[in-house]
Amino acid sequence: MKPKKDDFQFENKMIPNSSANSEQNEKETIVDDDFRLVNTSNYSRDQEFETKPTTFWKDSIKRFSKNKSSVVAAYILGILLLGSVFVPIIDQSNVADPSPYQVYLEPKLFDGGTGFWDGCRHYTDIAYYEDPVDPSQSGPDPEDFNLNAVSNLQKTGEQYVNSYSKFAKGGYVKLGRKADDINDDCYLENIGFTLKTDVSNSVEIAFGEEEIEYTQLVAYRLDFIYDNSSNYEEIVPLAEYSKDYSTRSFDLNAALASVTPTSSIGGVNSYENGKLSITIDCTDKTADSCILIKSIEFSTDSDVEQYVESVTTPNFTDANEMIGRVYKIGNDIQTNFWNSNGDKYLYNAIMTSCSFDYDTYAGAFGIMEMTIDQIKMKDYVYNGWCKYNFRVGPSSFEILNEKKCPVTEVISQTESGVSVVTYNLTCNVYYYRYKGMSSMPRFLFGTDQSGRDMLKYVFEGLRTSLLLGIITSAICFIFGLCWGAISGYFGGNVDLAMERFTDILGGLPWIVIMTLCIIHLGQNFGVFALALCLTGWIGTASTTRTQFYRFKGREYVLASRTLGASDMRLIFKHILPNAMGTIITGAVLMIPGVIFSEATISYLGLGLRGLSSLGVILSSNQGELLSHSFLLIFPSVIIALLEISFNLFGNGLRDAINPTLKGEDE
Amino acid sequence: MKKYVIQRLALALITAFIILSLTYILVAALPIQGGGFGKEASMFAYYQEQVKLGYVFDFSSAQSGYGTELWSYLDSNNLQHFFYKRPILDLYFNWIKNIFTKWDWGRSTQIKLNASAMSVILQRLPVSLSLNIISVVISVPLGILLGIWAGLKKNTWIDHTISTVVMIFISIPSFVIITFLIWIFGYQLGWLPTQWPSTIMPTDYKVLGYIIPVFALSFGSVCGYTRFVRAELCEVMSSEYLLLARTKGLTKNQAIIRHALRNAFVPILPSILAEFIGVLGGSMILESIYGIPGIGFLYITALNLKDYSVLMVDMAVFTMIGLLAGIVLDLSYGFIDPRIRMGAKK
Repeated sequence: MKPKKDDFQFENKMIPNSSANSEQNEKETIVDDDFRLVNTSNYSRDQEFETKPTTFWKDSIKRFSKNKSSVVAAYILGILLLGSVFVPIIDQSNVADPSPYQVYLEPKLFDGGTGFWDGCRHYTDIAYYEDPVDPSQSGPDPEDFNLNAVSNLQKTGEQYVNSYSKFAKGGYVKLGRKADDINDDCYLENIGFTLKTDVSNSVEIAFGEEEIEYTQLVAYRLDFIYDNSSNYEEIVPLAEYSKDYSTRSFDLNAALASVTPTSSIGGVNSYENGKLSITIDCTDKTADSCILIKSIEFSTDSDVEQYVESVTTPNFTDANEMIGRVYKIGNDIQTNFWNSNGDKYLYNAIMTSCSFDYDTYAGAFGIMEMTIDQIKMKDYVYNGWCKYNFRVGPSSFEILNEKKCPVTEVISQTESGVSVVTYNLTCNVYYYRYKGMSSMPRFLFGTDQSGRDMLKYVFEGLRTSLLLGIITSAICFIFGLCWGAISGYFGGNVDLAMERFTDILGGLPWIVIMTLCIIHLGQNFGVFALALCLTGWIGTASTTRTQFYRFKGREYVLASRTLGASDMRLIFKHILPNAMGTIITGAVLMIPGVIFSEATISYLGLGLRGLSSLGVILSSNQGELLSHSFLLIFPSVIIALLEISFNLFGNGLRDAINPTLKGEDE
Repeated sequence: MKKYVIQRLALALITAFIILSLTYILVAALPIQGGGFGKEASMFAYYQEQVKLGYVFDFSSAQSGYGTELWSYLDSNNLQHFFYKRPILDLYFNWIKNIFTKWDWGRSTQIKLNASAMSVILQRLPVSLSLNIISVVISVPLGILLGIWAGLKKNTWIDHTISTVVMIFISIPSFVIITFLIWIFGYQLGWLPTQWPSTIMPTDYKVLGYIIPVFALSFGSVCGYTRFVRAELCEVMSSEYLLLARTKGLTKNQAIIRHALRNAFVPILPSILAEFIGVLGGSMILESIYGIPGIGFLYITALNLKDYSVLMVDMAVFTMIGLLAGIVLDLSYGFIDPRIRMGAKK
């Protein structure tokens, strides 16, 4: 609206000039009759105001309330302030100790299934585990996910993996050697077993023929090796070097017919320590060489049971399983039944990936299988929630109170102890009821890596930040006011000395002061307040000084001085109230600045210890950005909201209190 | 004017001297990390250098009354060395002497054992410098253009949109913006590197690596310039001389370009100059989040590793930059607008 006002002034200035000119031209003379008395009574007085008198502050509030955005900002600020006070009181969750059972719960406001802010999370590309026994147990790794909370499970595709995974299947065993390997020999052989000719013995070997980058498929040969009667290794060739990658089978009895057995009892030949050996051709050293073996199956069970019970033959049809035997049974070279000289890797095993929606709350607090002791069960029976008889066992379980009973099903019961028998029950339980909660918890902001309720944690942080901001700003305000008042009021040498001091202090970057304080005094609340105060007051001081320079020469100050007012009275009664508007807005705008500084230094890892502030929370959750972005989004939104509304509020206040400055830097 | 410039420079030097002295004494009062930062031989070399520079006593036997022993060592000539810290004032005067006579600002203990702290800083200065100069080059024209646009279209939706966006971006802490920039463009979309590319990366990847830091650094200054330019322009637009120019018969464009902008730039140019110097300081936050090996990141590293010599030099650099920016701001007012006579008496 400025231009209009100025146009108006412009016109005003023109009018008197022109009228003066015209009066000069006419040269009119004024006689006594031209004057008339306005008031003939003895005394005159002004008319009384009909409207109510207004004060400066009332006027400011009126102006402020006209500024829509500032009013909204003020409301948001109010809500945040109230929240920082009341949320930590109302929210009873424990944020001091870790709660490992509720880590990384997604934020939840609405019920599950609404698709937004509902505590569910969409997972993609998770390895899919196909349970061969119970298909209903198929899905993502049960160690990481509670299958009861998984929905919309879909297989999304398959990918090849070259290292063992319990989720993978198939693939090839890649037997090979590197081009620069000094070892010329490369073979694979099973650990020996005794082969008896009373049954037919054959072996079937399936190979793979796939192109592998930087690696050539080479020829291989097959032999059967056993210990002869004089305990020497006897090699029986089965097939000479060839590149035949089709499935090949050999009748071992026929192949061994021409050689002497280790021993022969009653027409049954036995060949001890018999091994199938696959040797690859290593003559070409220009590239890495290998062959791919899909499966090896002997037709009879061999007695390798002496090593491990669970696996009875060296047979394998699944290369992934064969390679994985090492992990399954222990890293003993013999336990995977195949010794190799050369590299033995998994190649192109297939891993299925899936995508699904996961209700993190149902996962953490819903039905899950767990073991509870008899004391717990007795409690539930005592509370009248269910019936259970330990002598009868799981079949005696009966739910009496559907809404409260934590246990939904008793699966099995075990006994322990001799003189005093204690029972342990494996049951399906509602975990939240087991934990003694009356309903499924609902964390508005989710929970973090140690199971803290982010809502409470963030608002506690907000409280710390606000407290620090307000306390620091108050101290800075009071000190800066006094400093600026003295410096501005007295002027001269006092002013000069004080100005040089602030120059030096102001020349120090705040981060330097902050770090010096932190490394000397520690990282607690008081030190932070002190460090921020050390330079924070300079702004207020300089504003106050300027204002004092502006007002100290005014007539009303002079008048008061001539009447004998003391310096104190002049400062506090006459100058300060006039300068207050500008100074106060500066002080209000200082609060977000302090919060900003604290958050910044905390984010750099130098923050408060033992107390959470917004900066500390953001800093400690920095690494979660990819996996659990909500841990950063909520505190960021709060701090952004706080800063924006503080700035809007401060600007509105400045415009209201000091209308002449309006729009200077909005 | 000349007198004023000299006066200001001298004053700034004195201020810097006092600030650095205070900082040094405060830092020197901290316990030195005694021992444990390298191989014995290189540590011995470091301590001998420290003795030569006058920061450490070297005794042949254990002493009392010199505080805790820093380190002891049996050298190849079978001579025992016990190292003790000198008194703080001793340290201070030797430090000053070394700076003035040898331009030696101390030795790094952790970041690069026994290397001169100044060389450690100088090594990292180019990265910070290039980054900041690029961001200034981008943000100045952009900020000015946006500011002019908003100022000319005052109180229209364009102005409101620009002002609101500026308000929001000024209020959100820079580390939040940087983090989300990295998240969106680095991880979600995968367009840009998620970290500062190392020197062995291909050139095009290195160029891409500049985008996020430059954006992050520019956001703040673009918003600042926009706000400043808009406010100045609004004030000039409602001035009487502009009205006079229009009444003289100039077109609106002529009036704006010849009169309004010229006058509006009087306070804007100095602040740009000051910004040019101010950005040398780099952004500590940005550098440590994005892993940029500049002086801001160095500051945090030195602080965490307790490498106080490097920290001290880094602080000195930041302080000097701040003071210099202040002087340039003040002086350029006088150069640009002859009506303003800095340092003139009332």
